[in-house]
Amino acid sequence: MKKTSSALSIPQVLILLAIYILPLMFFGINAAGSGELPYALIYGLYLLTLLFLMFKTGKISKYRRIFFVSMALLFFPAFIHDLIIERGTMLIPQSTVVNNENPFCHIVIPITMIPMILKKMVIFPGRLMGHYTSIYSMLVIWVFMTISLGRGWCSWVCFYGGWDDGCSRISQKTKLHMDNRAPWIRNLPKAMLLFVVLGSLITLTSIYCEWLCPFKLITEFESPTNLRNTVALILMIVLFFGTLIILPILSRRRVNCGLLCPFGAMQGLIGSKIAPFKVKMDKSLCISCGQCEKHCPSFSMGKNIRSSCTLCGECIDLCPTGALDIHLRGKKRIFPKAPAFFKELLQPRNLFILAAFTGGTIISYSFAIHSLKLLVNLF
Amino acid sequence: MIKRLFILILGLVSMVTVPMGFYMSRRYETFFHRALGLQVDPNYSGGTVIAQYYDDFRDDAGAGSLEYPLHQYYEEGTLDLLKYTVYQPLLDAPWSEEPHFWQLSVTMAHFSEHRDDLILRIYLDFMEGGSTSSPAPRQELVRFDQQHPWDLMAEIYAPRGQVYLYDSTGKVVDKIPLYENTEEQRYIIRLPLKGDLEQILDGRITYHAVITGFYDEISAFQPLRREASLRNSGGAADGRTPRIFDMLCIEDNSQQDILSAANPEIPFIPVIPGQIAQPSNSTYLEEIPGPTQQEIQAWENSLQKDDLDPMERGDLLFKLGRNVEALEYFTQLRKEDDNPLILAYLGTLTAQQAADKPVLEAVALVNKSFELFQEALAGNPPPRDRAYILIHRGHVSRHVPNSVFNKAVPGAQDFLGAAEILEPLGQDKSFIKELYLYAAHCYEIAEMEDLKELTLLKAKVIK
Ligand code: SF4
Ligand code: SF4
Ligand code: SF4
Repeated sequence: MKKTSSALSIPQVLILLAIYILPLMFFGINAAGSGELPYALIYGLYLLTLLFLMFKTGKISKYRRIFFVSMALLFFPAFIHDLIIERGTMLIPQSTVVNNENPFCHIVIPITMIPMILKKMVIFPGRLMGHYTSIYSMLVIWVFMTISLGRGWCSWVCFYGGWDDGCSRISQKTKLHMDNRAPWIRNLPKAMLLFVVLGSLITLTSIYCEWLCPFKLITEFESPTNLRNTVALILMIVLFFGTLIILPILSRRRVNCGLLCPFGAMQGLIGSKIAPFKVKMDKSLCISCGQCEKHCPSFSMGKNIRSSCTLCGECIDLCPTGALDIHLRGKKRIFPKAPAFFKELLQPRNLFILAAFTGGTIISYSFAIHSLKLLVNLF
Repeated sequence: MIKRLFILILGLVSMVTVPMGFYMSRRYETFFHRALGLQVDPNYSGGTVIAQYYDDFRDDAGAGSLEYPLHQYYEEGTLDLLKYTVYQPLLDAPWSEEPHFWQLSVTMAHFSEHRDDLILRIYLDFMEGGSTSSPAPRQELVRFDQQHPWDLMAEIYAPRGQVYLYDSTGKVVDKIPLYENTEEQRYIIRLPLKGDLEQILDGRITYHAVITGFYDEISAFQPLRREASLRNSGGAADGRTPRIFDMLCIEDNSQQDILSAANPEIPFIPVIPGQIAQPSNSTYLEEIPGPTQQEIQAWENSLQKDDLDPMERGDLLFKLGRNVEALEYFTQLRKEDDNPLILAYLGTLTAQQAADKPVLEAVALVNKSFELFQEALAGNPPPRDRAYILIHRGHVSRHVPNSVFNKAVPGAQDFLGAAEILEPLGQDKSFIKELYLYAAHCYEIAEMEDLKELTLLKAKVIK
């Protein structure tokens, strides 16, 4: 059976863009600092174009990935620049630790969760309130996002994920086969999660941040003034190039996000249960061509779609029969008998794309325009 | 149809939730904080606070007459101490360049951008010996409490971002970084726990004096003049006026009295350090008086009497700390008398035996002790005796490790229960107050700060 196109008509696209433009303008203008309005406009137009193409062509994955990778690439120049302005270095100064001013990123949430619940203690030197990187602020964002997007966070919102997502599509051929169905691949994310959660609980330190986070290389890290920090630095460099660049290129999989990131694993376990949107397979349409399993970057496609699915849309675009799509509470079409215009307009995939793209837009706006300005000034 | 409408609404709500989450993230912080009450683990914030002292606001004029230099550069409040905080010493602190340290912090009334001329000193007495004068004589023009000569002085000199540590001979022994929290207007120092300072880990009482003044290259503390000028402070009565603008003044000490009490024969005046108990912050327990020497003597004398009531004899042995004798005595008495109070004494004495026993044996003894209390309460004692049994059990609960037995909260309930029984029976108010203070301590052990504070407040109103 041949797949029916998911492309929308221009009026349909315009309606959806009109909905998107509200948060885009609100957060875009809010995010723009002095002299940044032109960059905010450029970034806004860029996002509108990507979303337009996504709806117009009916292809999710390609434009999502462009967006997701841009977000990851635009995150670190702004972040590092701000660090250097504020502290003069990318190294974490002791005064930042002493004053509990380390930015609290979402990946710390699962690591700190149990001591938070049991002892009301945050085992991380971050500030509690009053900053967009503070602990409560991140917790609020996480709660709201998880309710709506579940693990969709990991293909649409996270400002780190673009690294291995982008690298996983550099090579056309798989040079290193990582078997989706191998038990170790299926269980590694949960094992990692368990390891860092228990390890942190026992040591009352966020061991992932200290030892295993590859993103410190593009954010901030401790000065290698002693053996411990030097080992941590070497490990971080190896993890950054290994799990975010080399292995994704060779295996065409998101090695860090699919196997190692504790937040991703937690979202798979919790978020995918809570969020109403899910990728579902219509088995009656499936011809077992194996395209979805072969190309799923997140190790999420086996015999069934796993809870680790990041709703990236890759398999949906590739499936030759249209057996895969985003469902809302199990429904592929909310009003199957409605006139075609509304039936297509209100299909769950469009609602999800709008929600997820808005999430990514808001989280990235501030640093993206800041980075754009820096880059333009640089050249 | 309704189900489909519901699904549509769910989809739309999910779309709205995303921007809402961001929009609300800063606004909902306080709401979440109220609901969750999270704190950064003290291991990351310098240790649990064990004492906090507040100094008067706008008292940065020495005995009252000192004036800042007149230039606008010297902003009002720069030398005004507001709060002094002492933390529990930390070992193996995560993310810290100095793994073992003792954190102290000083909050100022104003954190001027130009605080280059501030000098702030913390004098610490934590061992025998030490000095009662400044590192180089006559700097502050004060003399330190003879009872508590200082052993280590931390000199905070803001412009260099450094803290110089002096020993009691006046020699610089170390140089450590100074941390500033501009938002909270705090200076933070982390004294490395090495050398003599390691001694504080035994939980001893340490004594602290904190003083501020203007810095001077030659004499450390800027000399004072009669009249303030653009660059020099004024208000000095004479050359002996202490060069201290503000000092940590707690309890009944008056800064004015101390700094104006210059004796013509002795050009130095005493700075009285604040007494800080360590490692517990349960200073409120110090309100509970221990037995006086006379009382102890009276108990000893009573014990010699032949016609003593058997229970009273046992109680005296117990109060005098003759535990072995008391245990034997009450064990014997139990065979002859079924008074449930005997079981309470036995419960406490059994638990006390656990102190120097190996873990498994100690756990068995504590468990046995609680069984004895249970048996005592099951014997349906009259109200007053019931209260005393609860008090016995409360004390055992307060002393056994909460992480093992989880008895701190029941302990608090025992003390409060006893207070509830004894109050209508006309029990002495000070005794009732003690019960509240012990209950607060139990809550503190259980890390239930709100209940602790509430119980302390209740204790406070009992007069
Ligand atoms: S798995 Fe982790 S790093 Fe990857 S996208 Fe998700 S949160 Fe970000
Ligand atoms: S299952 Fe499909 S949507 Fe989910 S992560 Fe894999 S490719 Fe992406
Ligand atoms: S891509 Fe996957 S779901 Fe689609 S037909 Fe092939 S095997 Fe079936």
